[in-house]
Amino acid sequence: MPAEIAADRLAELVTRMLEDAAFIFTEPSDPAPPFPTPVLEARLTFDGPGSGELALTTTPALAQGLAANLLGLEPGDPETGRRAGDALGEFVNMLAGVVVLELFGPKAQTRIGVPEVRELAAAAASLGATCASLATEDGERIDARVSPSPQKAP
Amino acid sequence: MSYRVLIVDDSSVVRTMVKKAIAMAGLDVEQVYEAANGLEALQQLAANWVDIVFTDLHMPVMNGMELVQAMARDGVLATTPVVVVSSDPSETRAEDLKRLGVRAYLKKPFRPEGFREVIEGLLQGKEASGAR
Repeated sequence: MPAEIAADRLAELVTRMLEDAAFIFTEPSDPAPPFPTPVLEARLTFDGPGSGELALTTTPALAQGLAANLLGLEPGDPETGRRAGDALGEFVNMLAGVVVLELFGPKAQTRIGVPEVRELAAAAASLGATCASLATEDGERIDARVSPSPQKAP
Repeated sequence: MSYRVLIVDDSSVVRTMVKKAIAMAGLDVEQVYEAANGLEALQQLAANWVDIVFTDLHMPVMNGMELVQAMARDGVLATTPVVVVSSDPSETRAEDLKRLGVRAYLKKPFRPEGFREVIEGLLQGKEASGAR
């Protein structure tokens, strides 16, 4: 089973998770505002009837907002900067739960990998992936992409 | 009555989120212990009395499933309620965990009310059965 999801459905899942988990409101963004440099990226692999990778790329400001809201910190608290990467990593983990459920259903045996977070000079290209671009009212952008792994030959 | 809880997760963000949710749920928590994996959790359990354990599944060194299995083999720890807190959506895995003795499964993202319901349900049952 290929790990494929429609871009608008992926956008819906990310939007809902940002609202439910972190009280951050976004809308699909086309054209997407440019990313500043650097950006933060969190990604993990997943396996089940199919396999692939889920990645989130966002601005440091949005990641700090995630940290503030997930951890109950005041915006501007220096701790939000220190924990922005960890917060983005945990957010991709939570998102993976709903993406994997969407892809394979509740009965499938699935495995979600450990998130990796890194700072990038520029957002990675998304060749072969389903990509959803969202932005907050303040223009802070977050991209989600699901990249299916190549199918093994029978 | 106040309670002692152990939070097991390799993410310090999640440990903080769980602590915050427990505090917001208005429960009388005397002590919160933390561990970053199952092995650290067993060390904490050996050194401290704990009324309830909240654990993630996917962790390095010793994962949540291995922790639950180790607790089930221990005469004392087998009676300590374990609640899994995970983003893992698999119903099959949730059923496997229940067979191993896990008492409840909270999916991320969680809300304080979810913790309150689970903790009250588990600990009232424990008090009724005469445990501490």
